[in-house]
Amino acid sequence: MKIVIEPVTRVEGHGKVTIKMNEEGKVEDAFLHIVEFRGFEKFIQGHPYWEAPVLVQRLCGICPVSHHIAAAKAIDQLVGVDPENLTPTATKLRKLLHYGQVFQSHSLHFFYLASPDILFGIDAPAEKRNIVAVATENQELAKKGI
Amino acid sequence: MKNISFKIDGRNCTAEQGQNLIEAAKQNGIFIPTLCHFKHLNPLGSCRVCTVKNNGRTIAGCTLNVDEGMDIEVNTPELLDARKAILEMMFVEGNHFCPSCEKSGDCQMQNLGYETGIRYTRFPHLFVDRIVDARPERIVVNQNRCIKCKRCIEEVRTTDGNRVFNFTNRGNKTLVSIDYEQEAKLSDTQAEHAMHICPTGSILVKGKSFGKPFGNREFDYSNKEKNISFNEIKKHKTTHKKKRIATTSLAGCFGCHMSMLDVDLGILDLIEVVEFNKSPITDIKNFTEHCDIGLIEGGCCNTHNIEVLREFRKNCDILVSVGECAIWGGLPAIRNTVPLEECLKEAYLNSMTSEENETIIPNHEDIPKILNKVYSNHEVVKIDYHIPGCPPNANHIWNVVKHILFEEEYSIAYPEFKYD
Repeated sequence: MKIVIEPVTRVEGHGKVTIKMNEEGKVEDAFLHIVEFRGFEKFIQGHPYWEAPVLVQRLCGICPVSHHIAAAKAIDQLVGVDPENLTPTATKLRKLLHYGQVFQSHSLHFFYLASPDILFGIDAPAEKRNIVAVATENQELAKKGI
Repeated sequence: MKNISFKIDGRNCTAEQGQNLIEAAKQNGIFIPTLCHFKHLNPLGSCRVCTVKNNGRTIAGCTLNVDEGMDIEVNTPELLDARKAILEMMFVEGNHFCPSCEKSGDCQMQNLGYETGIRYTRFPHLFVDRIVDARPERIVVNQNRCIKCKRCIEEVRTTDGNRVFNFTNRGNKTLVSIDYEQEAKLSDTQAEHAMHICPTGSILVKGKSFGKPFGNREFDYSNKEKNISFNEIKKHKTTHKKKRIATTSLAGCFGCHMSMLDVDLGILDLIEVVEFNKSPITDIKNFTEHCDIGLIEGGCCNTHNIEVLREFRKNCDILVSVGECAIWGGLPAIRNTVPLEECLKEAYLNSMTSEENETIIPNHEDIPKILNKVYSNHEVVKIDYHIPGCPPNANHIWNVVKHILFEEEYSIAYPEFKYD
């Protein structure tokens, strides 16, 4: 027997889980598949390096800033800039961007993805455990979250 | 010079005899779009975007000099469509990935795309693989973005009067090549002039392309505040059953879904008049009912994407492609310029983080097969509407949805309509 969970939710991105059971109903094998292959590793090659931060932003629309900063750090290495020698403005700006991203991503995860499970409890029916149900039942709370 | 009178779209116009039609029309308050025509240059007639009709005969407007009694057609439905088609051909002929282009916002071709309202192209993209030449002293030439307008060839010269650019090859292999020796003699101003005269992002000056920040660029418009309101559609609440929406992300990045959530509090009004069925927003994994509208983010890069897309077509009355990836593959479609095998090898075997002598490229019965290229959604199933943008503005998305579901008239504000 095979149990398939698709798509995997409460995570920011695409995923799939398959669990294989043997005849006694015990787990034989379990996989977490990240099924989305887009080939960024290859196709960003050959572009001018300053395009990289904007290109890799499109890896994930939920955490584009993290990818942007990762590419910026890679460029630092390319041009031979030690992170210690970055201008204070550059460091501060990157930190600010990153804090903004963390804040946005955490609140998205908490309010939009996790809050239905916490508010209704995991025993509540699956079709109820979502942000739309939260907004219908307690509009004030949803407003605060948004 | 003698003044003459002629007609544009039945309107009486006057100009000097022999004046260039583009200039003459401009003086009379009529805009004829063009990508190759440039102030003092002799008419090039290479881009054909200014196509008009003179006494019933189709001709490039910039090559026409006005004369007494001419009867010119400019903005007839037929010509507007022809012009759009010519522009679409330019978009599919090269690789115009606006989100990653330094010229975005300063790009005349991109702006004409907005002006003519291109949402998708009627022709298949060619996904060419041409050289990005960074060898010149000061300039980078990206041949993938060149539309062969000939402007740089005619206009850019060194102080000694020597040309820097010229055509090599013929037919669809034509490239604009650079004379490195002459290019090195260009002054800073001359080099930057070359960048600005290029109607696309083909010619860039190293270190200068981001000189003007986004938001202050020639064709940038200040982004208005989010003003979407669902109040007026709440009146439908009593008369209509709740409309059903389904959404999904195929080979996308969830950025378009984030944009959908960017209506902020608007979503509370929205869920009073619509309900979400299968969607990451509700976590309903399978269709439980037939839906009125399906919003698709992302194109098709594996077999699973295709299955989901077909399922959406079966279960939704209307399908909307949301964002560039859904419309023509978007950024992931850059991989169409590279063989799939190389992409897989780079990711799983040769990357810096893979184990030494790694030989396994993931392949399992439960993993969907990767397609040979990234397909746009309308190559797979019928798509009814397209919303361009990377990502599209939240207002734009919900305005289209409102329009479709509740037949509400709307017009797209310029800042809402974006390719990047």
